Amino acid sequence: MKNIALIIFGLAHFVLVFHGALKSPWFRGGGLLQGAPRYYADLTGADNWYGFFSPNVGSGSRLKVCWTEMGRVHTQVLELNTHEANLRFGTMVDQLSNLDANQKRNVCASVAGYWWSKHNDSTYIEVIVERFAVPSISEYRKGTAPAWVISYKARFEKV
Amino acid sequence: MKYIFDSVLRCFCYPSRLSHRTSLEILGIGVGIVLFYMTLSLLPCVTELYSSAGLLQEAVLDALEPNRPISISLVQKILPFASPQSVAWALMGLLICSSIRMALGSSSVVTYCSAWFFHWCLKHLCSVTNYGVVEFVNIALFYLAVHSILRAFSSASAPVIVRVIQLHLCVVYSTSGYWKSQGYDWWTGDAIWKASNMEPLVAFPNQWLAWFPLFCQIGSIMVLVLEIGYGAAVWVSCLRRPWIAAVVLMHIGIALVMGLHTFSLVMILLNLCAFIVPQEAKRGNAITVAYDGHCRVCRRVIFPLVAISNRAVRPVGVYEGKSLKSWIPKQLDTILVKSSDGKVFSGGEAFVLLIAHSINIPMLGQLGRLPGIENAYRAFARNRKIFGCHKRCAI
Repeated sequence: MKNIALIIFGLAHFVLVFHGALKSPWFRGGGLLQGAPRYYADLTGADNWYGFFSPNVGSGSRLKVCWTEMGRVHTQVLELNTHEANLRFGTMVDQLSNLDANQKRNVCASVAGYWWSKHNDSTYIEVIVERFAVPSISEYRKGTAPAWVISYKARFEKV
Repeated sequence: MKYIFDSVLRCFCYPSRLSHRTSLEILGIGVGIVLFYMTLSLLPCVTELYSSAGLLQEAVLDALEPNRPISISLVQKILPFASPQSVAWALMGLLICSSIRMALGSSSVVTYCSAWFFHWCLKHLCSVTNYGVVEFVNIALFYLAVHSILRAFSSASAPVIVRVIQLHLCVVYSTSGYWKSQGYDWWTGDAIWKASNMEPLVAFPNQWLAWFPLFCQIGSIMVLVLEIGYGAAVWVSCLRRPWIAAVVLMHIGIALVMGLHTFSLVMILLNLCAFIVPQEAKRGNAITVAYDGHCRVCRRVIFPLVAISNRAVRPVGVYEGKSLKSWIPKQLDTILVKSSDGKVFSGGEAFVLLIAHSINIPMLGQLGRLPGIENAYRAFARNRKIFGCHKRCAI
């Protein structure tokens, strides 16, 4: 009996995994009926759809900060201390393109606030989101080189 | 080549007959090491990533993910004396302790459940920074935690958990391949080219690939075939090892070119522990099935089951009433199965046992004792001629 219960549990979990992979609306609803599988799927990782690099390979992104200090303008690509931390920070920057204008500005404001805590003499801080545009193979062979392109810019001034 | 591959796997993964439980223990140690390395790598950036004084403030995170199950402000409501930074640091410390215990081989309920819970908390503390490895470590920790709880109640916990991991991996790769196949880049070869030159991920530029477009195209399509076909190929015994080897090579490529070391390591671990380690274990518990070698129906039913069983079922065909084994009667009138402990089963029970071993869930064989199974088997046997059995069939 225990074994049968175990198999039923395994199969039920697999059904949730399968639904998650097919982007099932099960995991988006509220209420007890849909909320319970949603929380379970979140805890167990069954809510993923595994769409890595799909349908096409996107662009890598980075965040640049411009600020003034002692009358001089400084520009720096925002990078963290370790490779793992940079991967995570990069994931966040990549996701900025999916946000609406208001959310993008809020995220940039948050970054600017962090930067101000380090450089509080600065009169303004500009947060620039850039994406690395890689052309297709044929375009590259015709002479278009991969390049960093500005995709979003927000300026914050001290009042 | 096969010998070299076998030897390498034998050296690193399974020196002798290993059980499903060992397979999960290896997974636990491996995931523990990855988790320890990952947490240690995040330590210098705890303030930037996970504190409200960092790059993303609490209000922004709340706006990005409205129904966060856990946040620093929530922890502070429970523990008012804790500062935002101390919450993040405490979580990292607890995660490091759990991962060290896992890496040292502890497989207790406390170790796995605490690692799973603390990792889940970290995952939601700043979910916008999560990428593949976070999800897969969470998945692996969930299975390990569930196994650690269930093994006290059932001895079948390990085989069932390993089976669910196998099915989960099939869904992961097949759906990932399917979603990729919807994109144009994966058919033209631009996907491999772009992924190999995607700054800031790549360790070194690979623009030379542009002069080998056919190589990129073949590579992209091979990734699609490998991922979409994974769900089917791993169940075919002769394809399983080469397929897993190809997937492992793909992940090594991802680690070297794109710098996703921890992600690749977790995926390689999951693949080896789900498919390669239990495969060795199964050989020790193989069953032997005796069937009428002349019977076309018997052959049609038994051969595919033997093929997918990956050597867990040894077939013995009985021809012209000759039997080479003492436990098989010369006049075979039913299917017989001999288990590894020497017990002989016949009829419906033997057939269910055969299916159970073929799909690597031996305990399902107990279903053969259910009422009606034997009658169903007899009814099938009586009407076997409908399915193509010729007159000489002994059963």
